[in-house]
Amino acid sequence: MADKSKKFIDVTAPGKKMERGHLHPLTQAMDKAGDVFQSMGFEIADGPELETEYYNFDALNIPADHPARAMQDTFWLRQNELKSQISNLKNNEKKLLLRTHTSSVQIRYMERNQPPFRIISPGRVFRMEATDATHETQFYQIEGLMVDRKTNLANLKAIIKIFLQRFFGDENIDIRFRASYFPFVVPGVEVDMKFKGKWLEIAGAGMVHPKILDNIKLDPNEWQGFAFGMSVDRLAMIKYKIDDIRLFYSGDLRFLKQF
Amino acid sequence: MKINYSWLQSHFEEKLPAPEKMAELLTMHSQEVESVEPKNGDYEFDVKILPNRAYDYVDYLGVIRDIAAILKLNAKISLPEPKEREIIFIKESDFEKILGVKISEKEITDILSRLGMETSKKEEIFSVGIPSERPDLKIKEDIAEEVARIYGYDKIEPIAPAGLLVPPKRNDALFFASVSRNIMVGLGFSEVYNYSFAKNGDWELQNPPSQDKKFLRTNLADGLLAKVKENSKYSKDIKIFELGKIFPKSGERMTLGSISNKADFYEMKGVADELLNGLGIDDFYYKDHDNRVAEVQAYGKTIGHIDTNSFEFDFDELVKLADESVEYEPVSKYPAIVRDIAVFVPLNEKVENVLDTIENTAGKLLIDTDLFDIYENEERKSLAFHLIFQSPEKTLTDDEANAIMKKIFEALEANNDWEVRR
Repeated sequence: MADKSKKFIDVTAPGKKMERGHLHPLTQAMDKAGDVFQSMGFEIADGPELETEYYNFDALNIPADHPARAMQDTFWLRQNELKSQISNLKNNEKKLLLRTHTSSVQIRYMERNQPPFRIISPGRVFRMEATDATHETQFYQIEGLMVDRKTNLANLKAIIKIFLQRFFGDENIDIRFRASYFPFVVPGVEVDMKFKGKWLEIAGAGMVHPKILDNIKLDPNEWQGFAFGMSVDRLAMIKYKIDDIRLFYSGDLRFLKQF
Repeated sequence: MKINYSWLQSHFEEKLPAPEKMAELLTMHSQEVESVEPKNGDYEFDVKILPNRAYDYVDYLGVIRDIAAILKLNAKISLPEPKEREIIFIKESDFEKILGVKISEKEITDILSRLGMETSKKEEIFSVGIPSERPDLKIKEDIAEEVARIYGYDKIEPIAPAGLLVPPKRNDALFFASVSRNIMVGLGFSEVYNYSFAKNGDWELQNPPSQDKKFLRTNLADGLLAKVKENSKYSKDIKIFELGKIFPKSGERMTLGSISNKADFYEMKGVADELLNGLGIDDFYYKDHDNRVAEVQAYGKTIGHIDTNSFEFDFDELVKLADESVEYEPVSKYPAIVRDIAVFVPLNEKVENVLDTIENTAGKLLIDTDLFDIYENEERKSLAFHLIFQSPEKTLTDDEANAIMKKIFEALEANNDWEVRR
């Protein structure tokens, strides 16, 4: 029974406007990915966006004449006369570029730490590209690395599959490996994800090339492991059904406030 | 590279799988077939050649050898001349060690020989002779890859890695970044990601994406201001922030910037206070600055600055100062006494100077000072404070509070330009 002394309050009238802020969808995607990988024992590592040619290419077994190093793919920095003279002497530790992947972080991490390694490196990367709905000059990557005495390709499959299932909250997600080639892994594979009945390209991966371990003074007969890389923008586009990558960098609050 | 289905078929006695199926097999085991187009009663495969396999596909026979190995068929081609060959050695156990699946010796030998390699095995070690068409094969892992792709990656079952589960180390920079983002969001600010490129800066690109993006940005403020302008077409209140790298001459710095189009200096200062306190940074202060309204200093270093409606902090410095340890201070059981005081001071006098005088005079029993009113006329301004006195040990008497208030009055009026309102 209604209390007659109760003051009349119109509960159907709108509440007073309170406004919370919104985390960027890519932040939310990276946080989610970070949580899943941390629960599997992966440490999160970061490193510079302004990187040297050595860490971005040489240390990763990418040949000197590889097309990825060209001006149509990589953003190079102008350096003063003296510096470029040094770089002509093949000192790639001095030639600066905007990192094209976060694999450079893995090299820096491995130099400073002792194996076994389990790390992921999320971060902003840059590619010289014409922009459209699926291509941007900057985007985010998550790269993973696990090096141990026995880590193998079957383990890689398990880690990527579990990650994708947890990230998308869908236990039905399946993955498959396709034959492929990247200079820093062998075997190298392309990873597809079966999402709502369709196969989508989602990552590049493989077993860390022995030359890379050798470069950082680890014995490839003793240590082995896998590496993988995927685009956070792509993961977020699939998760939130976003059809244009440029929205992430638009700063448009009508977009951002939906997350 | 375009290859016709009928040409593929001409190398085999047996009937090949249908074009679409054949394309899928090649995509999984060999190289990606990007499209299959019907053409003049035939089918044309468009194969995306992997950079390491170009040589093997020059005479198109690489694809024939791959099909022979995938389907276990005998191709009608002569195998490469077994002249001078590079030899790669690989232990039988290496296959399982790398791939995580046991593949029989028979299968390994079958795959490798159909791909044109000469294999022999002696005491667990395969020696594999590499044909000149395959200069991409150099180390034992390359051989493992050849076997794995033909055998089929789909037959490798996922196995969770074994090993001691040690909780990963925390990355402090990312941890405090997350704390800061949550504080800003809690205060009603939304996060934006702007471009790292700018019209001007210290680092110039050799190959800029466009003329207005020739440099790397040296601040977040310009980008944030531009976003306020764009959003103002649709929204009235725009409160945004960004946590990102800037690129001054010295290299790169992680930076946290924020702007609120409707805010004044004091509102942004309040946001900055809340942010720094939330990071466990207590010892900081605001100083006049020539070009900005104020700079923020801590431990002798400039950690950021505030303008009328925006601020920007050097986040690398904040991470160094951040401290999540909290020590509980017992709440006093005894009642507090509140006294108000108002002081007239010249218009250009700083609140900080008045506060310092009060706090330095009052001693430990003054637990909080709260500026609740500022009133200005043409000659001077009045600052009114609540002063809160409390002892952790006993109930304070009026006399004790009065004695402290008297000392404060005297200290304030020791300054000839100040006058306590009575």
